Amino acid sequence: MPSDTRRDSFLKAVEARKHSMYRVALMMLRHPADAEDAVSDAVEITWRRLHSIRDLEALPAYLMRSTINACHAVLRKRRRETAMDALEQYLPPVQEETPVWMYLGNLKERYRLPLLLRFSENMSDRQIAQILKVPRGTVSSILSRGLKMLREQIEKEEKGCG
Amino acid sequence: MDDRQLERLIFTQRPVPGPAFDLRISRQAQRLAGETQVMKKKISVLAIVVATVLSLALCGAVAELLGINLFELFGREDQRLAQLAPKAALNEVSPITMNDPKLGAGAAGINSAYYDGQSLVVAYAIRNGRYLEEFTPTQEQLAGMEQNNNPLAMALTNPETDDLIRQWNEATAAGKPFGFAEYTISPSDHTRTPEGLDLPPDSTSQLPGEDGQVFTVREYVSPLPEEARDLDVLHIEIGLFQTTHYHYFDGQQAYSRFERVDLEPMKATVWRTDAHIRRFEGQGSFAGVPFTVTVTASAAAAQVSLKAGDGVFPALPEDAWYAVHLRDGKLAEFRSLDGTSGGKDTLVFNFHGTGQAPDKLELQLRVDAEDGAELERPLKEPVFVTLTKTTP
Repeated sequence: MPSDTRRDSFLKAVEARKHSMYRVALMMLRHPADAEDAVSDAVEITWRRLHSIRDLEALPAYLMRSTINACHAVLRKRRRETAMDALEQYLPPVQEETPVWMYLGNLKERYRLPLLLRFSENMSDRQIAQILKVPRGTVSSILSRGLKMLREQIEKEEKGCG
Repeated sequence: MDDRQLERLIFTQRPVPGPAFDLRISRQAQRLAGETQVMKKKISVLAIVVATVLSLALCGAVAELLGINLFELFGREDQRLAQLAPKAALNEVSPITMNDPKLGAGAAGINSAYYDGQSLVVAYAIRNGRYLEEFTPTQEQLAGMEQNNNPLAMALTNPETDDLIRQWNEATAAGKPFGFAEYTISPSDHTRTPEGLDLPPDSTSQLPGEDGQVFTVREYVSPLPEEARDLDVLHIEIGLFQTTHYHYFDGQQAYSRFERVDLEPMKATVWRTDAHIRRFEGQGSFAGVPFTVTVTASAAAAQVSLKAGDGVFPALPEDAWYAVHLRDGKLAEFRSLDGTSGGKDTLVFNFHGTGQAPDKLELQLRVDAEDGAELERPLKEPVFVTLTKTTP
């Protein structure tokens, strides 16, 4: 039975991170209902494994990692990804001319998840490295390259439209 | 478009899930956090009668607080604690009393404790240990509070009584001013001996009683630190604090302030029971790795150590872990407290006991994995080991 401290940390971490978990799941699965289910699975799995998490400060990162694992399980089951335009229709209406999240969704997972975790969820290089299980030094180079790819994609689209 | 503009757009355009999702996940987390707890269960009428009768031999609120063996009370939900109860009675209890304008007449004390030389389980009670009220700071008070970046939603400790926390969560989500103060009598996480040992806690269980009473059973990591093992008597004390936590949200900015006053610690003298500590050995082979097993087991706890004879236990994928299932000659299962990854020559597993020292033991070593994790065939084959007792 998890201690009160663990239980409270779990509840606080879920409350604090559930929107971030949803965005990660939506970016990976491209379908809101599947994303919600994946977050729900991740919460359940994290609770079941709570006793084995030594550092409670790592709990938010663990929740994010569990979300990514849950999404991979869904993707393995699907054996295919939903068409790319599916993500766009589930994103909120954007007033700006540049629908950045749609372009973000076009990037490979290697780039889009670090960009999302950094610039949407305000996570540090260390946290991103912990969640994605990549060396810390790699995170900054992925972010730099990901931003460049995102900008190039937007410029290409806008030139095409213009 | 430069990088800064792009970063800002990623943030400002991020999708936000609907309120139904919020509610679903919050409820799920609350349900999970509550499912293995006994916090919501009320003490039965019989227990209250027993407590009241016993309290006649003592006096007042303190007697009510300490007049019942809490192991018996928790034993209604946990057979292991019920079986440890007769060995957990203390000869003497030393309650602490306090009187606070907000909390009222409070009392706290260690009620009972089990110590067998290897394991320690302590039960204590606190009366009138928590009170919440609305709080709006004066300008002077606000100036003395710390600014917080984001008003995080707070978890409800007791959904039946934490209406102010519910109001806080609603107000901060809606951008409306709100504040509350929480007054508590809290036990320290540390349990110390006069020799300066800090006994590491493992878990706690709580039961709310009538009239603001809260009963707690605290378990400790077993085996205890070497200096605390196999003693005839263990003197322990658990610190007590009176804390006040102020929270205020002005509609845009969150503020908090924390105050703490140390109280007299709860103390107890715990004599070692005559419980048996038994040791077992065995051998097996898993995924081509031969290993030896040693087990130390009592009524309260067990520890299993697996040592690879040559090399290491195979490393596992990130979503898989080694698990041991341990059961005694009556087929009673020991409750596992942890799993572990491989890639090392020794694996250690800890368990809660069954309430009785075992005469026979058998274990199963296996690899458990989350759905979708792919395991090589040798890792999918569990191994069973019947253990031989090496102590009387």
